[in-house]
Amino acid sequence: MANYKIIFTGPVGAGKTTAISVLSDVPMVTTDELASDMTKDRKSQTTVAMDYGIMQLAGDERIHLYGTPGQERFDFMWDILTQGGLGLVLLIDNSRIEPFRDLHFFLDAFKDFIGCTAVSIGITRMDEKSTPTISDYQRELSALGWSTLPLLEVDARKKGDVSLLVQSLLYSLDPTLAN
Amino acid sequence: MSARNDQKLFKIALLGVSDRDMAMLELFLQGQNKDKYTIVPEQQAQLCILDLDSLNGKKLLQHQRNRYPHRPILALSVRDQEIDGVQFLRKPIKVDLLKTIIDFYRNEPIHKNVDNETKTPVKVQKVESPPKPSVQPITTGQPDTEEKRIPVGFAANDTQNAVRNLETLTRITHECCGTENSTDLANGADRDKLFYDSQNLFQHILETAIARCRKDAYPIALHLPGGKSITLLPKASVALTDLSDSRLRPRCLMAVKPDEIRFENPRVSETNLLRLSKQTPQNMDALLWKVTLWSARGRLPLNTDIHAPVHLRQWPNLTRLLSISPFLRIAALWSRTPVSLVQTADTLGMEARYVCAFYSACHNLGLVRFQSIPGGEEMVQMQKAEPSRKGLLGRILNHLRAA
Repeated sequence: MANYKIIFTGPVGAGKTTAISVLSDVPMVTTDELASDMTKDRKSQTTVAMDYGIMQLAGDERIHLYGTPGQERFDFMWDILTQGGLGLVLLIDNSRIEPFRDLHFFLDAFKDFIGCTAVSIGITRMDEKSTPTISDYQRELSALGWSTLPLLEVDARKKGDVSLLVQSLLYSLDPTLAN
Repeated sequence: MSARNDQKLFKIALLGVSDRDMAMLELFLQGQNKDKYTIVPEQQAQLCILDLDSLNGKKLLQHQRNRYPHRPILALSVRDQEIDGVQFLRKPIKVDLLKTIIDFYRNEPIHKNVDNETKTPVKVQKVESPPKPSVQPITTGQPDTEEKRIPVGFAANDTQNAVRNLETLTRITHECCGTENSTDLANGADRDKLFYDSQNLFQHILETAIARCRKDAYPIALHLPGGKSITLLPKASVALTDLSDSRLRPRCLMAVKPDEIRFENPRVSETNLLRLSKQTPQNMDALLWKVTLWSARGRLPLNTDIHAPVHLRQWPNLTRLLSISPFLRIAALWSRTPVSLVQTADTLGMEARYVCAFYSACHNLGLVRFQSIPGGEEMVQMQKAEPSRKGLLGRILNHLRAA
């Protein structure tokens, strides 16, 4: 049985758990703990270890969807989770106080993995807070030297949005993939 | 024809169809596709095709629904209609779409069973999928328009939903990229088919208005014939309009006289305009994007160099723009390496009209630039990608697109 994985990352509350659940072909599992720190102001529960879902392809092929815990003190998990991964989906919560800081942080934390694979970036919760705009994020990426990465507005509850984000990741890996 | 062959044929009844359409349908069903379909009386049919525009069209439809409630109905009409449980096909009939729809009913898909799988680490809980929105995700870049809305009543019927999705997707593709592969970039094409001049089109007026309101940082209202208007709000970067897409789209195809559209600066502030308006605001760039697609219809702005390498400055926000799947591939290629329009179509094995449509829309939003040096090395690397990996990524893609 062939197994591959796609990693979802981003800060707490960005929508990683939700995004994986809309794509997963099986009931997703997650490990949740009551938030013990400032996180509890954002969510009553937060993912401590990881989220896990599966896309079941034809035959025995499975694509494992892993969501990293969003809190930085669990960053030791990130290296473990990314080993052998196909690519990274980074979700940024636009309603947080410093979304650009989050963007810088996660792109830097995963830069080695991104260098070997690819990343697509989804900006969530733009319906709650419309600024920074997508254009602002694009300018920020250019300033960071990350020329042209797929960066899309995403509602993590909508399968179409999440699917398009993952499709942009796949095409970034190989634009010549045929439909 | 033997009884055994009869059993294999998909039985279709034709009701209320005009003589001219009947001749065409008979030729299509029992001529070209005589090994797949057959026309039968309504009592024996597995699918009923009826002409809703005929004199008794509505009565016929009602009769069919009452008498054969579980039999699918395909209704032909010149108008877009939505009736729960009925599949519509707009006239003039496109035979490839008709065939696709009939084949969907003929070959009902078998749903796969996915084994539930759980793991049991400490303190595990299953996550319920979030409530799904009622509209289906064909991206049109606008919150609630007629293009994006697919009847919720079809949600329980996968076949009808898939067919309706396919019809909508085909229509949107035609509206954005034209209806034929009339452009052949590699061999040099008829210039009239390859290029278009937006100077006399609504697209140019909208571009001018957007540029002006952004420069002045003040709203502008465009008053169109027929009493409709579009108000541009530069600070929020949104447009307010009472013009639906189905009414706006035809305006994009017609030449506009200089005095036909009046510009005006509203006396109300942008904040109050937003607060007081009953119209759903739409993103200004998304409006310009789709107007450009409708105007270009698979063609390029005049004097575009089809041999110069093109590079993407930034990805368009395709989840919120009128988009079709080829656009994703082109965006991925142009963000990776500068490639000419000719080479793009060739590398991706794609019709030129998709490349031209995407270029025109990106060009208008300032998302592309020409590079002096093509990305040869990158292109070679892409072509050397391992087939097994290519196969895997393709399978994931197919899974995502089928879901």
